[in-house]
Amino acid sequence: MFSQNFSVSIGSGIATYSMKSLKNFDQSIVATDFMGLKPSLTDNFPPYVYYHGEASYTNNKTIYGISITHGSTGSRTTYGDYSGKIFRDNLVRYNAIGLRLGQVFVSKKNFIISANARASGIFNRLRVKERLDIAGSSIENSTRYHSLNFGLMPFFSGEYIFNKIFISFDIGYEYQITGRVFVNNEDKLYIVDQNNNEIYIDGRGVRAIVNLGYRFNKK
Amino acid sequence: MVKINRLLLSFLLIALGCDFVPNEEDFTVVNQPDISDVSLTLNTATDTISLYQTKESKCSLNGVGILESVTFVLIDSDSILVSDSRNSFFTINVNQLGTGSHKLHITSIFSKRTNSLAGKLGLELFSISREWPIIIDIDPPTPVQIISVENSGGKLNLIWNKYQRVNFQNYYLTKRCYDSPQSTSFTGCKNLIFSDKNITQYLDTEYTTGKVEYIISVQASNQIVSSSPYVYID
Repeated sequence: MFSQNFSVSIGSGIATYSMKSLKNFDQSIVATDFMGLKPSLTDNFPPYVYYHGEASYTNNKTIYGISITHGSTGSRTTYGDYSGKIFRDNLVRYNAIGLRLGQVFVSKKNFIISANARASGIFNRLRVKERLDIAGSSIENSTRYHSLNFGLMPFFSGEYIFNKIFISFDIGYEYQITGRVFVNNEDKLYIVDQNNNEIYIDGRGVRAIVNLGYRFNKK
Repeated sequence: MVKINRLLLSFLLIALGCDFVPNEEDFTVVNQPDISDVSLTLNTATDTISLYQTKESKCSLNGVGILESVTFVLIDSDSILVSDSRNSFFTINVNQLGTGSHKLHITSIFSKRTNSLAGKLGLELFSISREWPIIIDIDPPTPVQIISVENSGGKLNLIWNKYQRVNFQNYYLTKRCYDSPQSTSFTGCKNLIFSDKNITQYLDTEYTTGKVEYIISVQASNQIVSSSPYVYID
């Protein structure tokens, strides 16, 4: 069934994100007295949908793959009353290129389970957007940052095959080595908090995804 | 195969269009500020402004905690002043406006320190407006007439018509005394001024006997008109 084949798949799943550094920074903003007003943290890097596409080659129960991933999450610190609103949004988006190496250890007629690892280069983009809405007018300011992380994700994959179409479910945990977060177009400026500690985009977390794929069997 | 391609395309479209966007909003209940202590006052004692000559006026925006203000003064919808001072000075030019009824409209827009977000930023704006009717009379006065002169216990009591218009300034009462009823040239004269429009009578306690002549004049719109002489002979 898989002595030698090539397949492509795309999928959509849920990812959680640690974002410890950015969360700490948001908490420090919430704790700050903003002219006597008390802002709230209404979004705090929640789990969110991510997207994945992969091309893989299986040869004698060993899986080799190359993939692209796109995901996003964010946070919002906000204050609002009858007179207006103020927002501070951290919007994190990333694109990743990954290399997969896997080994099939359960193989039934139409069903296989494999243990895998994916190493990725993760290109993060952070947009910090501040907006003040008062009396129908809006003032907005935004700063963009970028960073490069390296990820390693061990994961299990279960795959059910209908002729040449297959559906797979992957679940794993991605570890990341975080890189310095630079201001866009200012590669010597990087982001720090009030205590001069560097802030990182730490996207480590659980990844669970359902993929739909097509298999090209080699005769 | 076509179905599979469509399915893959659908996945791709979803993947491109669904990045995370924060949508939660905070709403903190803050009491709206009380601006009942804020008022607009004019340096005229009455609610209606009656004028017969051009007048300098002062409008004041009164209240506690007002940060900045802009005051707009209009007469009959024509702007005559825009001021960023709490005290606004302006001129009501009667010659430009002419005789008749007019309307003075004053609006002040001001910011006040409050506990809201806009208030903290000094951007919370409030508005207060007031209107005053203006009655202008710059036409020449109409004369008033002495209605009666009656002897009351040896004193003469004069009564004249009340001047009705708003351009009143003064009544002048002129008294002429004659030596005899036939005399045409008077020997003594007395002038009295009454600045209250509502005074319409005078008790002449100095009258003894003989012929006297009274003339009541009105000064209004800076012009004087006199009544016909009223001759009393005892």
